[in-house]
Amino acid sequence: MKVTRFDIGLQWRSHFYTATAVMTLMVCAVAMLIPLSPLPGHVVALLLFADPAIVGISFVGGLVMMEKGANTLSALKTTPMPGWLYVSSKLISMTLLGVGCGVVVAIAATGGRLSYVVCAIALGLSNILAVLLGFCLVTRVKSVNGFLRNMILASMILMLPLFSFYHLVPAPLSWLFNLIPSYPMLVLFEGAATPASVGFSEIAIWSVYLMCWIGGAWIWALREYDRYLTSEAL
Amino acid sequence: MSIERHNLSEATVISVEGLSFRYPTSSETVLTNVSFDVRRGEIFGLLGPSGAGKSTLQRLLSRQIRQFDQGTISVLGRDVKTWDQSLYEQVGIGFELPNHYLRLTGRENLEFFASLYQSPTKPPEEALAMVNLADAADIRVSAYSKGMQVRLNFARAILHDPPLLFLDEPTTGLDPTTSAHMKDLIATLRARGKTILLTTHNMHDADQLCDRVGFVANGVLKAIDVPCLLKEKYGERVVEVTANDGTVARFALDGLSDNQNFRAFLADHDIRSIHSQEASLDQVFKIVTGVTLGNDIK
Repeated sequence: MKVTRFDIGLQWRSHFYTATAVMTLMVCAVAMLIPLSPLPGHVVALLLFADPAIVGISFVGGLVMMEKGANTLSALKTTPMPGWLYVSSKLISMTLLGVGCGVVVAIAATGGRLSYVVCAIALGLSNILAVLLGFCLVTRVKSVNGFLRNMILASMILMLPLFSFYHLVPAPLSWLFNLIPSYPMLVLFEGAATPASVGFSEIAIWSVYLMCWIGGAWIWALREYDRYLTSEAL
Repeated sequence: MSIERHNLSEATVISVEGLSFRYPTSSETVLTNVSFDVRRGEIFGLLGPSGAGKSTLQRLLSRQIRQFDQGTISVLGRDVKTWDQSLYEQVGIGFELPNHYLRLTGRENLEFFASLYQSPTKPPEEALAMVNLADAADIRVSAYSKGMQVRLNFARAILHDPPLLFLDEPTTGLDPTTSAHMKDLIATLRARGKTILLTTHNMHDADQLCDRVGFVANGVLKAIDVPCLLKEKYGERVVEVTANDGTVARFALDGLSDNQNFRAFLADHDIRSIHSQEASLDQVFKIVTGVTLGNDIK
């Protein structure tokens, strides 16, 4: 907990919370400016999807790049702190930030008429996975440019399920896109906004599917920390 | 004095045998067949110019680099490859370059790092006071000078009172007064039984601080010995006497008190200076390695 508390303090000093607040207000403003009331579930899903995509992936990248820039990782690696503690601290602090931001957007977009349980599951799982993926994207890069390149590539892949979610591609291709973990995120967000549109079994299946991705991403993140945030690589 | 202390405490803290290393991305060998021991309670200096391989060697010994193909390294009684992060409960590392959280104060930096240890740690105030940073405890590190940040590095290295310290160029970038203070601190730690392995290209510091030194050039450990013995071995056992009129005479150091020529020279001239001609550590380094310390190897 001490490490997580420290990470939260560092994020506060580094104005991550200010940036998140500004971004959240902008998404809320967009939600309120859309001339539909109530907003359809698939529109709310898109607004909520922006949250883990931006806060989760990019902010954890920024945080690790900041530590790389100040060379503090070399100091951390010569303390008794195990790798899982470093990764989980980033995970918890960034997930809390992302979920908090997502809850505000969800309430603003739906006027509070949503399934809070499904919303909590969707935001929690999505942000956890996004933070882990963001962490894996940043470990090997040596510059902000390198991170931006990785992020753009990852974003392009994560955007592909939008085509299947909005039925813009035919069935065989959409099945492929649905395997990308951003698809279950969109489904769960829609289920949170309009509970009647997504059944319990679908929510359960996609939640388990996201958990599997989280398990894989966790192992990947630990390996990345051990292999690439090392003295040789830094 | 140094030799006597060594005889009193012979336990080996670090043992290196036949170590060779090259970075995975390079075909160039950085270290070749390095073997040496560091004994408990001594200050061992790895000396050499930048690029000689001494910092790489220190990083291998301190498990910052974990993969090497040839040789063995034992640290605190265990093969370094079998250690996990718990090694750092007993090891402190002073980096050459500052690596702090710049948005935090010196105190906050130390508080955070202290929280990562299971073993008891010094209060941050105490560690900061030891390196004369007590007045700057609540100033953000981004406002520290480089010298202050180097001192904060040192404070962080000793925070958990480790028995073994690795110090990389501990006086580089410091003004003479601060440098002297840091050397006093290092000597104090040795007096308290700490084992210290330091790397430096500053022969004067090494001469003042180290019980034994190892000369590293082009990745090879060329010599290991007590500094004064090296200087004696490679120096001339003569004194050079210079008179005010510019006359210079040299006399053998052995039997000097009975040397009639020496006595006569002193009686016949106004003497400007008398110097023994032992070699400096810089000169010994050049003789042994063929490398001048001022020239970085690359």
